[in-house]
Amino acid sequence: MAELNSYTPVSVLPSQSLTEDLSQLSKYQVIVLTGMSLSDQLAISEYCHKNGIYLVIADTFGLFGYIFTDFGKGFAIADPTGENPVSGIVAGIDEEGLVSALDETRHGLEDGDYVTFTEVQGMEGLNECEPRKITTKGPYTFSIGDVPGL
Amino acid sequence: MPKVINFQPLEDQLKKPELLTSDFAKFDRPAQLHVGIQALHEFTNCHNGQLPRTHNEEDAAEVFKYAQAAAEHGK
Repeated sequence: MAELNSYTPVSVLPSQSLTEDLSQLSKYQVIVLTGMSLSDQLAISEYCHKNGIYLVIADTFGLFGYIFTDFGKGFAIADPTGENPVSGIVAGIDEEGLVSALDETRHGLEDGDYVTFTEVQGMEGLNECEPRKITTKGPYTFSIGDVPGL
Repeated sequence: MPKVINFQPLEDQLKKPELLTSDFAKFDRPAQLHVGIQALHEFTNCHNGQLPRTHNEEDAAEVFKYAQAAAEHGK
């Protein structure tokens, strides 16, 4: 099997079964299981989840199949949608943090989106600021919350 | 902005699975598969790793019995 793809090292685990000594799994960051009994899967899953090892289980049965994934608690996805960030031109920001988009342009944002600013005049503290969570107030305005001292 | 999600181990997900619907015309199919695959695992457990024989009424009936039990269990 090692000859199938020379870029993938293939080795055989020395022990008779994966589950008789679960600690042999500790050196891996990701484990993919296939063709294992449910009880073995459960034992390995419990060990992996406790020890921060990513787990993928996949099997096919004729025309049907499944995939199970467990990447542990607190798994951060850096880019959930793969979309480029939207940008727009700001007409003004009032002292209560209400941002107005240029004239009749819709900002296209939703509640919970994060924004930052560049080339703002008069409230320069916002330029390159840490992303701020917004709430939309209308199609042309949104709020960035309080802007004390800016 | 990064999105943080918490995964559950297999044991928890088996009881209350978070199923991904890939075909919205057959939205109940993933739940059926969840039950069916548990039934297949139960069958292999009782038959020394062997999967049910194809076109075999007896094996099919046994898998169906396990499937019903798994479905009840999941309620």
